[in-house]
Amino acid sequence: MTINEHNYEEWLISFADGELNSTEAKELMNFLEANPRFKEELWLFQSLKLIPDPSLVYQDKASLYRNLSKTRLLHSRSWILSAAAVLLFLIALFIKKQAENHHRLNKVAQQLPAIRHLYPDLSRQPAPSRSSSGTIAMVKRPIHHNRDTGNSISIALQQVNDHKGHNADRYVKRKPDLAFGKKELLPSPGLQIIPLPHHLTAIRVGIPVIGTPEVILPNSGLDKNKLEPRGVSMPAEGNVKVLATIPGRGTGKLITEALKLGKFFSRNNPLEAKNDIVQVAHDELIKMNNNQ
Amino acid sequence: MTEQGFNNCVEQHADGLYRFICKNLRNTEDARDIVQNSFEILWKRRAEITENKAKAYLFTVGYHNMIDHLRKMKPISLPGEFREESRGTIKQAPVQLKAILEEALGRLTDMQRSLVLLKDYEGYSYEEIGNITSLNPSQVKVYLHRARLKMKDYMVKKENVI
Repeated sequence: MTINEHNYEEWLISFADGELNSTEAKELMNFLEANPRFKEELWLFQSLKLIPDPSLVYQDKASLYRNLSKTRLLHSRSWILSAAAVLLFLIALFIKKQAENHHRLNKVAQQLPAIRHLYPDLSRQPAPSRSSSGTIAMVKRPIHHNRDTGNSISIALQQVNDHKGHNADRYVKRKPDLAFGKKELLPSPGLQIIPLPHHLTAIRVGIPVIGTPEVILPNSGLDKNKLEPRGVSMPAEGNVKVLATIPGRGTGKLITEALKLGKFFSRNNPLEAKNDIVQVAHDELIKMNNNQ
Repeated sequence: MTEQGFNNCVEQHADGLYRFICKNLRNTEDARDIVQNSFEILWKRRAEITENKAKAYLFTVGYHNMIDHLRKMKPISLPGEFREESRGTIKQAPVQLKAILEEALGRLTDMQRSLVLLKDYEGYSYEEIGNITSLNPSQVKVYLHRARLKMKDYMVKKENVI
């Protein structure tokens, strides 16, 4: 395109904007040399260039910067602090629960002086100490024999993974293979094989899933609802004598039965309470055997 | 783009983008929001955008954010239109070239003003401006030339002659 008097402004503006190549720029210069009256307009267009105001700056650049490592660290710290807070809360909750249990146990012991002698250190400790391991329940086995025949009772220790809320007996009925066939354990070393009293056909001992004292102490002013059966028929009928049951899942009657034996289980830890129950069953068997 | 590259972009381009937006909107708060949003978008897309293309990307995002903002505030005027009246600001007698230019700039349409600022502040070519504003280079040239002529006419008004 040739520059002329009709289009010279376009050329001037393009030149001022730096959009002309060297050839075009030279052509424009030649035109201006030939038409000097347009030189002033070139200056005018060049003076139209805006200059940035250096005082106009984005003040808060710090908010735009990114620092991933710092962010990750902050997130990490935040996570650790949150975890620590949750842990502290759980510890505090556990301690509070322990204190409450201890308090309730003291109260129960005061209400039942007959059993207080069993735990002389009750005022100092929430429960007698006895070490234990494993979640093991002793459940009934079909009675193989009794004293009349001279055979011995076998007490099977059955590992019951009862966390799903199955009552041991119910569990056994539903899944006999699992209950007796595949996972049967040997009796613990402390248990002897004792002749079965003739009036008993079974001994049933449940696993204390919830080891808090209130669930195994009826008529103590504690929450009775926790002692109600939950759709489980316990073998308290006939000549079956229940020595202990699953706290919170058995019946108050059955627990009362255990209490009549002069024992009660006051473990906060269900795993520890297991040994109490086994011991009760064992002692009772010996006692009944002697009585016979 | 790396984290360091992004931070370099903040250091190098935040002020320029802010000036560009601020001069167009004449509202520092809105300009700040648009700049912040532009960098936020750049950060999200940093995997796709290299550092040497970040400036153009920032101005593109910022420009379109600004247009969206202007559309919300009022219907945008067509390119090439010239507003005879001022934008409602109190007219003060220009005593310096810079002040006259600011006045002239204020009389341009939003599109014209954006093109002039991209050209003068950032030195973009017509083609680059076209990429930012989604116009072709010819359109940029036409709109920009009209803007220059309007500014020149304003400059040579008798009352504005220095």
